Formats: sequence, C-alpha cells, structure tokens
Amino acid sequence: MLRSRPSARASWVAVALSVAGCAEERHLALPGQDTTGVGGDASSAPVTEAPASIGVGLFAASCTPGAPTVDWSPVRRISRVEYDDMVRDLLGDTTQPANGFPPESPLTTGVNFEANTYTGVSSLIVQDYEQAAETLAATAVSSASTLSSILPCQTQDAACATQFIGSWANRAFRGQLDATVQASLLALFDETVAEFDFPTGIQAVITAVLESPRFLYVLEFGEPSEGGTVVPLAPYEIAARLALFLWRSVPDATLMQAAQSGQLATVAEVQAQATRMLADPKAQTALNDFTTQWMQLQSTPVLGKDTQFAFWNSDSKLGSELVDETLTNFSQEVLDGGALTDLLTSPSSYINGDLASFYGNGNGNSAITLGQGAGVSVDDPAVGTTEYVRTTIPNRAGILTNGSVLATQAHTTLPSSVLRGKLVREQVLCDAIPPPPPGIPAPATSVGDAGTTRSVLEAHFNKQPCVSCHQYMDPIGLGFGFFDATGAYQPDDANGFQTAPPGGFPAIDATGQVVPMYKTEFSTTFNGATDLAHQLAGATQTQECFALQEFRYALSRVESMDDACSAQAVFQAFASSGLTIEKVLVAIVGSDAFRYRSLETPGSECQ
Amino acid sequence: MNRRDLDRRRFLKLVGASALTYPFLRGVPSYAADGGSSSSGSTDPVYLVLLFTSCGTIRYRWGAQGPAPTTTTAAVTSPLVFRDTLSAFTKAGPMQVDLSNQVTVLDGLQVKAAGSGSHEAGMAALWTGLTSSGNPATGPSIDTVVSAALNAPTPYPNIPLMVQSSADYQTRSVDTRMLYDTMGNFVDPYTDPSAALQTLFPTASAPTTGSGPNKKSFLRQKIAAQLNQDLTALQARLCTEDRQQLQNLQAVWNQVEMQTQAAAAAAASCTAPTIPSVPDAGTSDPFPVYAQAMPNILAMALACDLTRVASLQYSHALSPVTHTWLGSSQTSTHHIYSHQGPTWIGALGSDPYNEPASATSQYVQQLMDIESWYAQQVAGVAYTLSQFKTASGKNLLDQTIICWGSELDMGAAHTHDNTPFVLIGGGGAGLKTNQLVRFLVNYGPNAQNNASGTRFHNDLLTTLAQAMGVSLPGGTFGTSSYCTGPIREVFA
Repeated sequence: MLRSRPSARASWVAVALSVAGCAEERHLALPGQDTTGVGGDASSAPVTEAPASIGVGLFAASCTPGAPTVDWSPVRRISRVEYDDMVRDLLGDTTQPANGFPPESPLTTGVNFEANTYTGVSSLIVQDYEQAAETLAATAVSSASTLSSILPCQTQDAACATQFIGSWANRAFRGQLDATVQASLLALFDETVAEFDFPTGIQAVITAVLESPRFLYVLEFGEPSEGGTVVPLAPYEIAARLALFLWRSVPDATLMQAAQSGQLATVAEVQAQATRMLADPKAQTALNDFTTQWMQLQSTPVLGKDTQFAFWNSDSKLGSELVDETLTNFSQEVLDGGALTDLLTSPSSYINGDLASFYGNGNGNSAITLGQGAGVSVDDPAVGTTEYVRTTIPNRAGILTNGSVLATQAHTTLPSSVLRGKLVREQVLCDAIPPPPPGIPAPATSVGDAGTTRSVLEAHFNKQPCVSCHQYMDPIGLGFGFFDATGAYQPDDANGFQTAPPGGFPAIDATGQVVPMYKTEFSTTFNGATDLAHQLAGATQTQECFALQEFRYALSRVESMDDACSAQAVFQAFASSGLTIEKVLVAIVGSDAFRYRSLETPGSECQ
Repeated sequence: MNRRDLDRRRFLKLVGASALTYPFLRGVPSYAADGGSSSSGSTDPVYLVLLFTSCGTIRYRWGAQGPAPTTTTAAVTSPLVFRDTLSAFTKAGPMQVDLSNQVTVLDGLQVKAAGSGSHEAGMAALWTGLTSSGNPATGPSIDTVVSAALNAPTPYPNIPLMVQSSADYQTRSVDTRMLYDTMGNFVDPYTDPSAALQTLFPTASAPTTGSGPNKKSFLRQKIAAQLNQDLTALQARLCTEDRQQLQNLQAVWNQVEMQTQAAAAAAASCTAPTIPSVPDAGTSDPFPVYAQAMPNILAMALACDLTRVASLQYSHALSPVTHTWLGSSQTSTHHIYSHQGPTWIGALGSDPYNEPASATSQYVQQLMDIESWYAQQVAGVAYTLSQFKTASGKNLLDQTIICWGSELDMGAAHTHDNTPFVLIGGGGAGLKTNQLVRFLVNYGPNAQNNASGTRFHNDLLTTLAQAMGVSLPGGTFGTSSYCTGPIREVFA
C-alpha cells in the first residue's frame, strides 16, 4: 500500500508520540497562578530525555565525521507549484494548468511540506496530467512563432528535432534523458511526421515528455558505484536538486551546461550556482512556497470571519494582501542578506496602502503612514499590482505578529491561543504535537460568562488528558492576546462581547511561558508578543529549527539520524554568519545530504 | 478548456415541460448485451449514487412524521409526511414535481464506526463503515466495492463528482475526501464540470487547437506504448517502495487509457449534457453554478451507461461555504452556522422532534435556509434523473438507488447517534419507497450526552450492496461487529 512508510520510519513516529510527554500527568502553573499543591513549573526539568531523532535533537545527536551518511530520498511526484513553474520555463506557458490538479497530501509526520507527494495517483490525477500535456503541446505548436520560440533551430527537419529532443527533453527530464528514451522519442517524431506534419511531430514529443515519469517524478540514481551505503549524485542530479529547491522548476541552460561540463563537482561550485539562482527572479516562487507552508498560509485568502469584523468582511482582498505582506517580508529578508533575528523581531513590515488602513484602523490604533523607503512591487492576481513598503507598525515584532499568521491561527470570532501556540511549537520550535483525542467538544465561539478569552482556556490547565499537550501550546499563544481573530490590534478583551459590560472590556493579560518538552529545550517566561518574539529569536532551538525546516524543504523529506552531520554543518555555517537566512540555503546545497544519496539496490527494500 | 455556453433557459426547455420523455440514447438491445437474455427490462442496469452534504441537520425540522419504535424492530410509517426541510421533495426540480413517493427516510441509524469522533471521523466512516477517530479510512468505500463486484461493461467503474466552492479546503485529506479505493487511498472527485465533460464525453467537446480526433488517438496510442516501455525499464532500476510508485502510475495510466477509449466509443452514441457557463474566476463563488452543472453530468453519465456507480459531494466535511446567493444575511460559513444549536442530542428531550423552545431557538435562520437549499438540490438531482426514460418506458430514477448522508447528525453536537440518511429512487430495482423507517435511539439521561442508537449504519451500507445485487464477503462491510444484516424494510 503506497501510503505505508518503511517500518523504520513508522517506529520513529511512534517513539516521538510516546516520548512527547503528552501522556504524562503534569500540572501547569501560569505566571501569577497559585501553584500550591500543583507539581512543576517552567523551571523544573521535564522527566523525559530528548528523543533520539525527530526535531532539533538532530543537532545534538552524535556525528562521526568521515564518510557521508544520508537517509533515503523516496521517489516523489512533482507538486503543482513545480508543474506550473516547469511548463512556464519549458514552454513559456503561464496558464498555470496545475491549479486545477488534485492537491498534494501532507506528510503524516507533523511536517507539512507540500513539495512532497508520496501518495499514489488517482484516475483523476492521471487524467489531469494527460489533458494538461495534450493541451500544452497543442498550444506550443499552434503557430509558427510559438514553435520557433521553443525550437533550437529553424529548419523543420529531423536534425532539428534531434537537437530539440537532446536539449529540451533533457531539460524537462532534469537530466534523466538516456539513449533509449532519446531514440524512442525520435522514433515517435518520425512516425508522427510521416502521418501528419513537422509541427505535429514536435507536438508528439512535447506530449510524451510531459506525460513521462521522468518529468512527473523526481528520479535519482547517483553515480555508478561499486558498493557502500552512499553514492554521490550525478552532476545533472545536483542541477535538478538545485532547481527544485531554489526555483521549484527545471534547471536553466547555465545549470545544464555546468552539469555537462563537470562544474558541479565541488561544494564551492554548487554554492556559487545557488547564490546566482537566489538572485534570479525565479527564486521568488520557491521562497513564497516555503513561507506559505512554514507559516501555514494556504487558506488565509479565503478565511471567514464573523460579521462584527467589518474591515475583514468588506475588503475581499485583505486576506491575499496579508499573505503577500508575509511572503514579501521573508523573500526580502533573504534577498537583502538579512538575519533570522530581524525576520522574527522587526517592528517593521512590508505593507501596502490597504494594509496600512487595516493595521491603523481605530480601536486604539493610530493611523499608519507608509514608510519612505523603496517599495517592492507585488503582483497578485487576486489583488492587482501594488507597492509594498517597509513600514513601522506599533505593537508588533516580526513575522509571528503579521496579520496573516494571527488571523489564520484563530477562529471566526475569537483568536486562538491554542492554534497560535501550536504554530510556534511545531513550526518555530520543531516539536510535534499529536492530534487531539476523539470526543472533545468543539472550541468555544463566545466568551460568555467566563469573562476573558484567556480564562476560556483554563479548562485545559486543570485536567487530563488536556494539560499534558496543551501546556506546550496555550501558554505561548496567550502572548498574542492583544490581537483579535483578524490579526488586528485590540487594546482590551472585547472578544465575544457585543457591548462593553459596566466598567468596560476586561484588560488583556499577555503573559505566558514556553514550557520545554524535553530537558535541553528552550524554556522561558515572557510578557507580550514582542517580548516573546525577541526571546524566541535568541533561542538556539528556534535557530536550529529554522535551519531544520529549510533542510527538510530542500530535501523534500523528513530528517533522520543519518542526516546529523549534514544538519550540524549547516547550522554551524548559519550561526557563524550571524544567522543570515541566505547562508542557510547556501550551506544546505553544500552539505553531504544534498550532494549524496543512499545507495539503493533495485528490487530490494529501500534503505 | 472549453465550456458549453447554453444557458439555463435552454436546459429547462430540454428537460422541462416540452420534453417529458427524453429518449434514452442507448436502446434496449444494449441492455441485453449485459448478459441478460431478454429485452424484457428485467436486466435493465441498476445504478448506485452516493450524495453528501455537510455538517448534519437541524433535527426538529428533519425527516418525516411517524411514531418512534418502542423495540429494536423498526417502526415504519407510510406514506411520507415530511417535516420542514425534506418537504423539498414535494416540489422537486424546476417543474416542482412531487417525488415523495420515491423517498425512504431512515431515522435513528448510528454511525457507530465514528465513535466519539467529530467531523473527520464521521467523514472517514460515512461510506466505509470503518472505525475512525479522525484518521483517514484504511479500506474501500462501498461504491468502490460495489463497482468492483459488478465489473460492469461500462467505460468507467465509478464516477466521483464534487460541487466545489472556491472556499473549500485545497487539501487531499480526511475531511475533503469521502471515497476510498481498494487500497484505502483517497479517490479524487471531479471538481471542474468543464473538465469532467471533456473527459467523460470526449467527442462532444471541441477539439483542442491543432488536433482532431484522428490525431489525438494516433498520438495517444503511440505515446502509451512508449510510456509503458519506459515505465517498465525504470521500475527495474528502483528499490521496492520507489518501484511501487511507478507501478501505481502505470496501472492507473493504463486503466485511464482503456476508460478513455471506452468513453469515446460510448460518447459516439451519446449526447453530452449542457452545463451553464461559469462567471469569470475571482468575482464570485462558482458553487451554485457548479451545483447545476454536476447533476446534469451525473444524470447523463448514467443515462449513457458510462458507469453504474457514481457519487456527488457538495463541498466537504466542515464546509466553509458561505451561501451568499441565498440572501444578504448569509455572511458566515455553513460550518459556523451549524455550531449554533444544541450541543448534545439529549438536550432535545425524549422526542427529538418535539424539542423545547430552549433548543429550537438556538438555531439561526441562515442554517435553516442552507439546509432547505441542499434539500432542494438533492430533490433536483432526483428530478433530473426522473426525466430520463428508456425507449421501453423505464424511468432512470426508478433504476437508480440514491443514498444521501452527512458526516454528523447535529452540527453543534458533533455526534453520530441519529445520523440522517435518505434513500431516493430504486423503485424499479426492488426498493420499497414512500416510507419512514425509524429505529430506536436511546436518548440518555438529561445531564449526559450519551444517546446511542440500536442500529448501525453499516447495515445501510450492506443494504446498498444487496440492492445492487452484490454479495459481500462474510455478508458484512466495514467494521464487521457493527453489522447485523441488511435493512429489510428497505426492500419491497
């Protein structure tokens, strides 16, 4: 069954769940709460040791320097983002046909990087591939100008077709064109021309290429090898990995040339290509794709919020613009050579005029004037083209206080300290939280008599099985209490009330704590989101987790013990660069995990 | 992608007053080709259709009137006297036809397999009968099993359709998928009516630029041969789990090729349905337009015998659809409105249909309007099928067994103890209709949410199989301990 994972991986997940501590009896004391008779507070050590594998434990695991060790990279299908980028670069097609394909299935291990499509295909997926390939190919040959723009030569003959197959098909296959397939594509061309004409012959080749598993799947075999457990990737396979990671697309001519002439052999050569590629506009989609998945912004443009949120309900572009703000914050940080610290703590954010109105919209907010610096032009089909300018927004610090993140990790009426805390725990600290047990009631949609939004969560702190997991989420999320369900600032706790009770809305208490899941993990108390953001930015766990998230994204898989040395080398480079984000990306492509693969035996179980 | 631009008025004319007998496009002799020995109609195919709407029901407005049973034997009331929501069946379709004599309301079935789980568990268990606490099912749904057992000589074993909203989750997961294949993988439904049209009725759509039918089939045949060769060569170079990925692709690809050819052959004697055109993307949710298009595709697919098993889901569990077309008061999502209501079925008192005002006043008008609209949609599906008649006079709705369900019984309660199921059609396939079949539900003491049913929905799933003439291994489906046998009251 294609959904099953190798047994080693399955036992990992079980280990992670059982040692995650969520089955233990623990009581949590919040700052200011009476802890008499309640065991444990943030400063006492949790009873479990760090797990051996998943998460930032990788950076403390033993690494024996020497021969490279690498985990298995499973065969995967390309994602929808990759399909669209590839046909754009191969054919100049911008219709984005993959938007209509069935979506990817998230990995089930708590990491949700949708570059990975490991589940089996359905009839519909195959039909979509076939129809898209046929339409794209027919369009590509539909006129003399489209045809000449993709052919490397102007004579309509077999010699030109041969040249086309050798270069274009090889690029579409990301280097996996061999002599047999080359010959069969040429035979297909010949037979089609004999029946129809030259353009149809090219159409046949394009169709066959776009339907080939060498296009639809990421296939790697490594250099031919005599033995061992690990092989270096072939040059064109490195080129493919670079293009998939940094552009979510096929290699360009420069990369293909570098592969063919053996100029992707050293770490320095590979890293030089990465630097070049990051400066290319094509890097934007890949950076946006990472941010969307890291901060879980897939549904933000269409979030529904209660009618009391007039701004949200009257401005249908708001969700998309908030996403664009966060995407721009991240990509600009990378392109400007900025650091993770700035990304997580800056009081400034890239916003456009509409967002300035949203962030400065009454309720204790003063009007916001866009910054004076150079703008970034953002073209979003749902919004149009607008300028995003780095602007100081009061009460905020870093990407975790972007409206997009806060609104997505919220309900329709109330903000959610649980969801916000969960995002930080899983995406920023890389600790997996298992799903809730069955039979729990739905989240509250109003505060009612409980008084404050914070008090609604008290149910989680005084009973099992809730507290054993919620202690790792809720006290973090409470730090974002000054932001309502739409991510807008609120000076007091108006949640759920239609009118203020006598004496006004309750005050907000945004104190909280980060409770370590394991002995060596980050542990602190804080007051408010800005304090939390600064402390998170300074924590080694946060820095390691960010490196790990990019590591996973680059390799399109979850980490294993075999990746310890690579991950630690990446982190070394990251830390010694002052946490420059671009340095992580460049360090990853120079790592063993990126340049080698596990040696697999055909017909045997994958290692 | 090509779109048919026939407007609604023209469609109404075709299926409305002036076309009460829409000729079947495959005549009686093709039924005989099924293996039946006569053209008497006794071998006319029977079709199974699964329908889904989200977030359960407003209990006191649901179902039909009739006394509750006092024992574990079902209490049957006939003819049907609907309560509010299902009265849509008395005025079905554009011609407002009374189809209540085609309906069986099932009341009191517990989706035991969903246990104490929520939306996700209910969605996973709905058509699989397999125990879930919220994880995807690990085995097939009933439509998969029925279509495999039928092994009918139709181009497609199964046609899954979805009316998808622009607000729907763009994930392939336990809450968006209700169907599973034999390996327990998600089955993806068609979400774009134009794409479904192009695939299911291939010769009907305009050829893509620069190619006509000859070219397309020539290329497909050549390329398929080459793909198979390369897939086999590649598999030989891979370790086991990686090899399985390409084996899966090869198997599905070849299956799709066969289906495409069979569909093209079938389409030669079949007219594609007309579907309304969709306004430009980005201006409004295409959901209500898709809700007109997909039933047309469904009906024509059955009428052309492209498949014997089909399904149609409106959105998905936890539906995030905002039904703006129902009025300006619709400002929130289906899921959110469904949370306005009693949070436990016991709050309804001993008779869920005579709820105290303290319970009924919690429901909002928007939710009532939403549920009425879906009932109209389902009644409309039934109406559309009823407009197709064979040359011998058989009615497609008589030959189709429609089963309509949801992932919860009551939205705010998140329970599964009295889950709404409605059977429509099948009168020509051995089903008894125009009745309420009510099973005993024990509504627990007031303080606890511990209502429990005495009959589980696994028995409905086995009933569907029996109605389709399919024997199930061991006579059970899903979690076998929840099966006691088919619901005999459903059969004539």
